[in-house]
Amino acid sequence: MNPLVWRLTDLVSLALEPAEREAVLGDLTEQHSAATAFRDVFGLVARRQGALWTTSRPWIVCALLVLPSAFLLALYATNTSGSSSVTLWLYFNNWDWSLFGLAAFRHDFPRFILGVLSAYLAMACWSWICGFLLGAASRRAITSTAAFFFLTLFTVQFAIPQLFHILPRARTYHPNDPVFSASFYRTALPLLVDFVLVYMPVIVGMRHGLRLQHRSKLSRRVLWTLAILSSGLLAFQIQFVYRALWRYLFPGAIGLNLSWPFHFHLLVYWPVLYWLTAAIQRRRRLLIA
Amino acid sequence: MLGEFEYLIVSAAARLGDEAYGAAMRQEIEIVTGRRCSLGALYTTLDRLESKGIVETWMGGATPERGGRAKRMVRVTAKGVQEAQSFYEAITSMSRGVAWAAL
Repeated sequence: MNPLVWRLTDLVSLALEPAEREAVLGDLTEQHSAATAFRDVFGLVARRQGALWTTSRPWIVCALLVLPSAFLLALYATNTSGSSSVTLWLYFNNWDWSLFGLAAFRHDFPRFILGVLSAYLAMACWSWICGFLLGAASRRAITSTAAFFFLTLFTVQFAIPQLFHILPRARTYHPNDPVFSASFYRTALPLLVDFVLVYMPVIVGMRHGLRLQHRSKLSRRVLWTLAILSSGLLAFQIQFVYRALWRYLFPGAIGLNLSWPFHFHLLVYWPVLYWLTAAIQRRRRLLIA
Repeated sequence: MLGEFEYLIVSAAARLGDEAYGAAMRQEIEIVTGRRCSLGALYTTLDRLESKGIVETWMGGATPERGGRAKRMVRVTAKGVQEAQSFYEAITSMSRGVAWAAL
């Protein structure tokens, strides 16, 4: 059997229950049916996932979680990679060592770089939280709800730049055109940021979310509460959308002034504590073993 | 009453006896009917039949030709035998007096 086809088949079969996966892969190995192995497993996974959608749970998860979180995350990721591109271009494409002689530069530079890094960390945390909620809520339907989530994410991320071109008054990035004329900032950096800070954390978050049902009742409640509260904050984080819409709908009006009442947004960093605790627990278990 | 594909699966399991498991049943159905039997259809139908109490399944032993993986063994229950018999009787009764070749 073609190793690549087999690897792909093996990967798709991960969506099956462990016992069924073992039986199915055994059957395929025995029959040496390379040509149909992938189609067979994919067909079985599709049937299994399709059967789960006859209950209300996946529909509710999609309506209340997949669509809103993918939409908000796509908007936030596009904005974060765009604004960080501007900051990075400003410093690194105009780099001059003599700038360190200026007190203002020495003051601003670390703050801006720290700002970019904290925005990236927040994005990774939000992505992880969305994945965590998706895994915890979807359970066995995770394969299909995850596919739907990523499809929505791709669609919104592809559609946003087109929207900014269709609606001239909503096109807010024109002062930064020199930045985005460079293919690195226009294409490479957003793709890299998406892959490392959105897709990967979402997948890792899903895996953690799927394991949530094995935790204690108290732990489940705390994690659910934190995840729901912090994912809700994402709706307040896409203020650039509200401002653009406001400007589009009311061109002459005073601009919207939306600011955080307290430091609520710091709540989004809770997954860092979770990762640290999980890493310590894992290390302790390894030491005991 | 059983459906056509359900009947094929129950019959394949009955023909194979103690050797009835996914790959063997699939091969049996494909050889006898000359039609392709997808693994998805086979396993989802097996689940349905098991939930109706027509067959029972369990994880059997692993063999080297399966890469050390276990088989999902299948056995027709007493209820399954009854259901298959009534399906067979219904089909043969309905077919009596009909000459398909002449139509």
